[in-house]
Amino acid sequence: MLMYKVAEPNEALIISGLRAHHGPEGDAAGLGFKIVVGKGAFVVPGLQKVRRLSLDIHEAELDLECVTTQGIPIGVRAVVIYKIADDFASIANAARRFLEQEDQMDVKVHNVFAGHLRAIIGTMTVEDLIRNRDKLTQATRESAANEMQRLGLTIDSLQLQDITDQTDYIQNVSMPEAARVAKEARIAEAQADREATEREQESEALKAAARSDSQIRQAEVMAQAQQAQARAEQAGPLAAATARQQVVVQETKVAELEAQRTEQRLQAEVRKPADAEAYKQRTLAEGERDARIHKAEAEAREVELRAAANAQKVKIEADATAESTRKVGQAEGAALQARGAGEGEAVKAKGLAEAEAIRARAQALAQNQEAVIAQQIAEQLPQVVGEAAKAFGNIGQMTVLNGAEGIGQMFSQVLGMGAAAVPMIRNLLTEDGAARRQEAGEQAAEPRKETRSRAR
Amino acid sequence: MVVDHRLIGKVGRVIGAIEPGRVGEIMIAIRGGHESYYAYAADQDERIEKGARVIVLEQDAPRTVIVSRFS
Repeated sequence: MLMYKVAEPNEALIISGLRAHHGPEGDAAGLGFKIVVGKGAFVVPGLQKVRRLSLDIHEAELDLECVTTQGIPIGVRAVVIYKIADDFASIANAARRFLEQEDQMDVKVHNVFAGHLRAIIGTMTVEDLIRNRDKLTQATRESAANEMQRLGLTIDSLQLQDITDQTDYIQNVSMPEAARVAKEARIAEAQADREATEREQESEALKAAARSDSQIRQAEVMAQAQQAQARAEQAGPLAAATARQQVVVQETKVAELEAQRTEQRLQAEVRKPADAEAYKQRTLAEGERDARIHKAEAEAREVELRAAANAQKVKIEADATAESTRKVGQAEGAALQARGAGEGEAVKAKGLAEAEAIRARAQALAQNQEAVIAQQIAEQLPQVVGEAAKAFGNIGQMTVLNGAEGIGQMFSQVLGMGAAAVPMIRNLLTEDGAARRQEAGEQAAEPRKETRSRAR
Repeated sequence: MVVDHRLIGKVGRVIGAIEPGRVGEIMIAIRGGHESYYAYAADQDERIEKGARVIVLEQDAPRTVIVSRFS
């Protein structure tokens, strides 16, 4: 009929009764009961008794009228925060005093602490209370430590919440300081105001400068941006042009390679066969030409020989012909020479005769001009009459109207016309005779010459 | 008196100055937490200022220990 009791984390089990005075927990010699913290324990109901002791934090509020070391009455409102300490000695002390009476613990602590707080404040000044926290803690420790240890308690904190001052001591203490502080505050404020104004003005100036700088900088940046943009806008077409240029270069290379390939192919497919064909034809032509040349040479040789033979023959014939012709020519030349000589003699003789005759006539004329003229007329008359009769000769058919008488009349007229012409001729001959004499003289001077030239 | 042997040899830090003839206070890590103990110096004339490290030599009362400066 065992029961298992478990201690909460914030409590201790106080077990008393059977065998509790020498349990396994801690050094319980002489303790008279068993303390269990943080675990469980079997208890025998009836023979053993279990109590729970809370280890929670407690607080006690104090509101006291105290007197400081200067004899100044003040009202203090304080809070003491304490708990039962965690070691077994403290738990044992506390268990003996407060077990089953924990609700009274605050009252008891309050009473204990009220006395201590009066003592503590009695050792301190108001200024220390306000300002010197370490001194307060120290004083609390010194005066309350032993009491609290006997009760098994530990003080976590002592806080003075409020100090009331019926004599305005605190206010008066603070007055000079407050006045000084107020003065300093005003000074500080004025100074701050002045400095603020100065700074404001400086700031305004700086702001204006900054604004100006900013505008300048903005303009610069904008200019740079526009410059960059323009450069970027140029970069596109430039890159495109470069790219296109490279493309063209590559295409040119491709075209060159294709041309080379085509050339190689043509070399292989066209030129080599053509060369072979040409070589073949040339060789054939050369052969043919050589054959023809040989043939022509042979023919030429033949012709040459034949021509030489012919020439020899012709030459011989020509020689023969020339010889005969020469002989014939010589004969003819001799004949002509003989004939020419004969004719020349004849002409010479005739010329001499005529010249003699003219000279004789000239002499005669000189001696008897009239007789000569008459003779001449007589010589010429038949010719004159003949000329007159020619007028009729031109008539195709003449009809004579008065018969024979008419014809006789006509002839008499013709003769009359001839008679009428005689004196006229005479005149002519007279005049002509003078000229002819002169002429005849000249002709007589050189008849030999004339003859010689004719002989030639 | 019940002595907590786990306390002896522990090293703590002074939170209230220890002066000749006056009790100080130290903070020690123990039982999974931190607890404060009243402390006197082993050397009666020694003054141990706040923040110094001390070692616990012996236990005087349930919440009072004797310490020495630990350096």
